[in-house]
Amino acid sequence: MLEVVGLKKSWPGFGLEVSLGLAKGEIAAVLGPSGSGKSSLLRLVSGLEVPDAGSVFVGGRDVTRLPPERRGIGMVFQDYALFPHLSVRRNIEYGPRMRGVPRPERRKAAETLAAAMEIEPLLDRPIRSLSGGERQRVALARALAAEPSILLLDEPLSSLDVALRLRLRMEIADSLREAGATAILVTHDPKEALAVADRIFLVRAGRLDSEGSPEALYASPPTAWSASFLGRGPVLEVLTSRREAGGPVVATAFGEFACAASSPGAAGSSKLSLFFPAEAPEPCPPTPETEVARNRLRGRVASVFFEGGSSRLALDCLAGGPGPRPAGRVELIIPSAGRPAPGDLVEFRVPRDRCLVLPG
Amino acid sequence: MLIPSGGRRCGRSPALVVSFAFLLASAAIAAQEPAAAAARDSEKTVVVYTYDSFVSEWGAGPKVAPLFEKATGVKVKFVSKGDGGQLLSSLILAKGGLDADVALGMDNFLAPKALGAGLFRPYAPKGLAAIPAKLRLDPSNRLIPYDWGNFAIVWDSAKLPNPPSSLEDLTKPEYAKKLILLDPRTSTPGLGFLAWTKAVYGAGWKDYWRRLRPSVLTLSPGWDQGYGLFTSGEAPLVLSYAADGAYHLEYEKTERYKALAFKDGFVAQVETAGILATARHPRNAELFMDFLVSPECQRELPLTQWMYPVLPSLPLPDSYRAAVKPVKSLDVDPSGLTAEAVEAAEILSSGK
Amino acid sequence: MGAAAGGGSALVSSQPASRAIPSPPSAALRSIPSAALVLAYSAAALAPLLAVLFLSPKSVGAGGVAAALLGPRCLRAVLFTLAQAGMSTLAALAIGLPGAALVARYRFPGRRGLKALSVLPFSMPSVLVVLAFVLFYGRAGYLNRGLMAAFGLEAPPVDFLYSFWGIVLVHGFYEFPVVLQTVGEVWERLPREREEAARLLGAGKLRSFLTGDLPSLAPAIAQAASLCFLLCFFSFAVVMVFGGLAGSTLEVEVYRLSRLEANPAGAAAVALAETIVAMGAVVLVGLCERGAGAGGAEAKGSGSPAELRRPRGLAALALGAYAVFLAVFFGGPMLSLLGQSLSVRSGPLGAGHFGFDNFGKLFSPAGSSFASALAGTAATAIPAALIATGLGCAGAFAVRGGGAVARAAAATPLAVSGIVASLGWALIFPRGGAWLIPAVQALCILPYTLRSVAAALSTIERSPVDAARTLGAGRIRAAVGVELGAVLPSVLAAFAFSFAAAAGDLNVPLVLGQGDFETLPVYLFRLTSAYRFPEACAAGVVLALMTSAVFAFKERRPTRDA
Repeated sequence: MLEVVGLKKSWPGFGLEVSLGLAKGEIAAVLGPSGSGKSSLLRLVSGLEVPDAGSVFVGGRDVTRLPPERRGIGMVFQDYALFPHLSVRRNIEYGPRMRGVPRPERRKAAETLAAAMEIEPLLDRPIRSLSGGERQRVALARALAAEPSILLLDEPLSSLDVALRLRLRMEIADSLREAGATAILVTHDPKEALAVADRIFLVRAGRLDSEGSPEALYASPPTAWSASFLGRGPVLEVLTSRREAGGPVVATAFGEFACAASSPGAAGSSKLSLFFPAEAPEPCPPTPETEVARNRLRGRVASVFFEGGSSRLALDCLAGGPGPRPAGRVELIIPSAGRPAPGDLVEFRVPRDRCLVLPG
Repeated sequence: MLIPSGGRRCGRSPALVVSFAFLLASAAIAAQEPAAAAARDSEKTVVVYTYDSFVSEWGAGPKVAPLFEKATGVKVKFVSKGDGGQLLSSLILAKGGLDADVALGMDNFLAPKALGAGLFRPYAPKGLAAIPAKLRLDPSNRLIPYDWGNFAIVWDSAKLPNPPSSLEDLTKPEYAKKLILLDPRTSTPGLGFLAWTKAVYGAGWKDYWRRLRPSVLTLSPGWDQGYGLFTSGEAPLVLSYAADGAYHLEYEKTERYKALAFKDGFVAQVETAGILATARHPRNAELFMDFLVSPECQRELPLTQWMYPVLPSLPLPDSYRAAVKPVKSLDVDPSGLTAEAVEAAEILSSGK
Repeated sequence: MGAAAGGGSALVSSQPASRAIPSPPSAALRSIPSAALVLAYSAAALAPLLAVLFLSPKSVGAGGVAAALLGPRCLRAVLFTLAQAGMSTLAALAIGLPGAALVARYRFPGRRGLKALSVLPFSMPSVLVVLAFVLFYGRAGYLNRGLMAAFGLEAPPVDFLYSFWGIVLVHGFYEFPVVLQTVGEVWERLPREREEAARLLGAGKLRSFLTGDLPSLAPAIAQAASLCFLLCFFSFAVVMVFGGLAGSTLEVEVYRLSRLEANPAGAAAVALAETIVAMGAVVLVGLCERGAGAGGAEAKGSGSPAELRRPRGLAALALGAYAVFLAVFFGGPMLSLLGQSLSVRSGPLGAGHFGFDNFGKLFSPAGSSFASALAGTAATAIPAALIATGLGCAGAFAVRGGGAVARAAAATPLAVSGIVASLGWALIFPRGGAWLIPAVQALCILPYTLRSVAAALSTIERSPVDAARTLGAGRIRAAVGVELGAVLPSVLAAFAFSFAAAAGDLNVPLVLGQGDFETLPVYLFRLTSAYRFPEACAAGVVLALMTSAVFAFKERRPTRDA
C-alpha cells in the first residue's frame, strides 16, 4: 500500500535517508529516540515537506510530486490541531466536506464514526471544553472520517498522562483495525510500539536500524542498538570473539560467555556486542575464587525496584577472573520472591542458549 | 524598567543605549529647568504668554528679547501656548492661576472674547498716541495693538498667466479648482476671508460663497498647510497675507509669488497684547508694553512677523516693495463670525 | 529484607487516603487586576478632558454647545467621521494584510526594510504627510504629470484626491504599518499544524488557510482594525485637506471651539461626545471579537511556527507585485517629499533646482537650533518609548485575563481629542516642565505597545512558564524571564514603533513644551509657519532617517529568522 523508496532530505547538522514498505491494513510503528527523524519522516511522506530525493508511492501511485491534500494521506498531529472555532461534529465532517460529500451522508458518517469511538455525546460541544483524551479521539475520528489510504499518527499519545495513554493505546489500535486502516504510528515508547504495531521500524539518527514484527524484534533484536533501545536486556561490549563447536564464545569486561548464535548481521560488522534478555540470568551459588567460569555475572547489588511479580535489579558487576575489579552495571529482571537486598554480593548464571552476539 | 533580563543573549548594547538615553534626557531636561525657574523667581523678569511663531527662532521673540533687556535691564521670558486661540483658552481655563504677566497675540477676531473674559488690566503705554486710531481696537486700552496685516489672495505668477483682480473674479470658470482656501472654522485667515466677503457683499455673502465653490480646490486646516500646498505647485492661488511677496523677495530673491491687489479693498488683522489683571510683575509688564510700541521693537517686526508695524512713520525694509499696499480698508464686525464660519464651510461642502 | 519491607509499608500508611485539591481562583477573581488596571489607565487618559470640562468657568457657554450637539449638522458630522474612519480602516487592512502574510511566511531581501520603512508616515507630522501625498497624487503631482506626459492628456486623470476617496487612500497608506506590525507579529508565530491538518484533510491551500490560520489571526486583525479606526477617527489634517469639501468631522468642531472661539469647555463637550462615539465603536468591535471566535483565543499551540521560506512561483510573483505596488503608491509620496527637500528655489523666476542647501541650512551652526531640536527629540522620544514599552508589557500581562473588552478599553488614550488633551494637561500641570512631555506621549502610545505585546503573548505556550515555576521561579520572575523573553522581538518592535510615534508627535511638545523645549517636529512646524517649506521637508527627512535607524537597529537583534 505504501512504498517509500530512497527518501532523502538533509538539514544543517542532520540527514534522513529511509526506505520502507507497508502492506494494506498493516499498522506499523516507527520507533526511535527523540531527534532521530521520525516526525520528519512523517512530514516527508505526507507531503508537508519536500524531499531532496526519493519517491513515495501510495497504492501503487507515485505521489511524490503531489501536494498534501491530494495524496490520500491523513495525519493525526501530536497536539491534535483541532479547529477550535468549529464544533466536534464540524471537525469530524471536515474531510468529507472537502471531498464534496453531501451533508446528510457526512452527518451520518460522522455519527457512525463517533459512536464507534464512543465520543457521540461530544459531537456538538466546542473544542475548548474537551479533555486531552477526548481531543485525541476526536482527532483520530476526524482523520478516519476522511477515509485516507494511509494514516500517519505523530506521537498521538505523548501529551497524555500514563493511565490515559495505556487505555487509549488499545483503543487506537482497535479503531484502526476496525477501520481496516493502513497506518504508521510514530512513537518513542517501545512498549507502545510493541503493543499496537504489526511491524516495527526502528529509526536511529535518520537511518533505518532494523525492522520486524514485534515478536521477532522482542525475541531476538537484530542489532545491539535495537536491543538496548527496546530495553530487552543488557548489551555488553565484546572484546574478542572466537568460534567454537557449539557457537561463538566472546570475551567481555564481565567475563567470558559462550553464546548460542550470532545474529545474521554480525558477520560483516567490525563491532560486536553480547546480548541476553534481562530475565535470562538465574541465581547460582558463587563460583569459588580459584575457578574461572564462563557465563557468570558476579557483583554487588546496587538497587532493587519492586515491580510486582518481578523486580528490577541493578548489579555492579565485578570483572571475570581474580581480584575485585569493577566491570560495569547491568540491569536484570528477577522474580520478586527471595530477591536480594542492596549491598548483597550475588552471582548469576546466564544460560548459553539465551546469549546472542549482535552487530553494533 | 521592565526590560527583561532574559536579554542576556542580547549583549550589552541595549543597556548602553538605555543609559546613554537617560543621560541625554536628564541633561536636556536639567538644562531647561533651572533657567526657567530662575527667570520666574527673579524680580527683574516679566513673563509673556504668546503664540508659537513668536518664540520660534524665525519669529520676533529672539530678536526683541535682548533689546528689551538691554533697554530696561528686565529679562523677558516668552512662553508659547500654541496659537492665539489656544493661548486665550488656557488663560480662560486657568482663571489667573498662570504666572503670565502679559498676553501677546490676540487679534481683532479674538479680542471681543478676550475682553469679555475680563482678564486684562488697562494701561496706556508711552507712545500710544503715535498709533493710528483705526488700529486702536480697545478704547479702554486693555488691549494694545502692536502689528497688523491684510489678508490677501496670493498668486503664483509662474503657474497662472492672468490673475483675478477682485473677489468676484475669483468665481470665474477659468479659476476652477485653482484656489486653496483656508478653513474659516479652524484658521484665522479663513475667518478673515469670511469677514472680507461679508464686508464686500453684505447680506449676499452666502451667494458669493456658492459661486466661489467651483474655484476652491481644498480647504486647508491651517495657514502652514495651505501655503505649503501652494508653494509645491498644487494650485496657483492661495489665501494668505498681503506681505508674503516680501518674504520671497527677501529670502529667495524672487518676485514669483505675490499678493493680488483686489479692487474690493482688504480686511485687516490687528494683533494686540495686554497686561493680565493677575500679573505678578505689573511694573515690568508696563515696561514691556512701552517697549512693544516703541520704534526699537517695531523695527524688528516686519522681517520676523511679516506684518506691518503700528507706527506708521517707521520705514519698511526694501523687500516690502513686493508687498501689496492696501488700497481700501474694510471694517470687520467679528461678532457671530465663528458661528457663520460653520455655515460658510457647509456651503462649500454641500453647495447649499 | 524484612526491615526494608516494613519501612516501606510504614511510609505508605502515613499518607492520607485522599486529599481535596483546592480549586484555582475563579476567572472573575483573576480578572480583577486587569479590570483595575484598565480603569486606572482609562481614567488617566480621560483626566485632561474632564479637567477642561469641569474646571472651566461656568460663564462659558457649554450648555449651548451641548444643545448643538444633538442637531442634524452634528449627526451628519458623526456619520461622515464614522464612514471615513471605517473605509480607511478597510483600506489599511487591504494594504497591510498581504504585507503581513508575506512577511510572516517568506524570507526575502528587504524584509526588514519593509518593516522599517512602513513606519515613516507615523513618524512625520501630518503637515508633511499631507504634502507628500499631494506632491505625488495631486493635480500637479508626479503621478498626474507622468500620466499626462505619457498619454498626452489635457486634464489630470487622477483627480479623486480631494474627495472622500482621497481621505481613504491617504489613510490607508498612513495606517497600513499598524496592520502589518500587529498582524504580522502574530502570524509569524502561528503554529503551522492547524493549516497542515486542514491540508491533510483535503483542503487546498486557500481553504486550509481559512480554516486553520484565519480564526487564530482574527483577534489580531480586529485589534489592528480598531487601532486604525481610532487613528482615522481623530485624524485632522488629512481629513480636512482632502475631504474638507466632502464633509465635516467632530474634530473640526473641537478645533473651532478651542482655537477660534476660545471656548474650551465647549470644545471639551464636543470632545467628550467624540470619545463616547469612538470608544463605543471600538468596544463593539471587541464584543464581536469575543462572540465570534472564542477559539481564536487558542492561537497558541505547542507546535512550532512554519519556517520562513524563499518564495517560489506564484508566491514570488505576488511578492514582486506587492513590492512594486508599495514602491510606487507608497514610496512615491515619500520620495516626492525627499525630492522637495532637495529642491532649492532661487532666481527671479523662483524656479527650483537640485541642491543640498536646505540640509545645509539645518546643520549650519549659525543661530540654528536644529541641533538642540534633535537632542530634544531624543530626550523625549527615548524615555517615552521606554515608559510606553515597559507599561505596555506590564499591561499586556494584566490584560490577558480580562479578555477582548479590556483590550478594547485599553485604547482609550487614542480616543481623546489631542487638542483638548493638551489643554487639559497644561491645566492640570500649569508649571509644565519637560518631564511632562514623555509622560503624556507614553500615555498616548501605550495602546500600541500593549496590543503588540498582548498579541504576541497570546501565541506562546504555557508549558515553559510552568516549567520555570516548577524550577523555583516566582510568578513574576517566570513571566518576565520566560514569557517576555519569548516575545522579545515583539517588545522591541513595540519600542521602535513607540519611538517613531513619539519622535513624530507635534501636538504634545508644542503645547506642553511652553515654547522653550524644542523637538524636531516642533522645529519643523516652526519652519512651515515661517514660509520655509523646503527646509521643513529636509528636517522631515532627517526625522524619518532617525526613526528608521531605530527600526534598523532593533531588527539587528536576533529574531526568529536570524
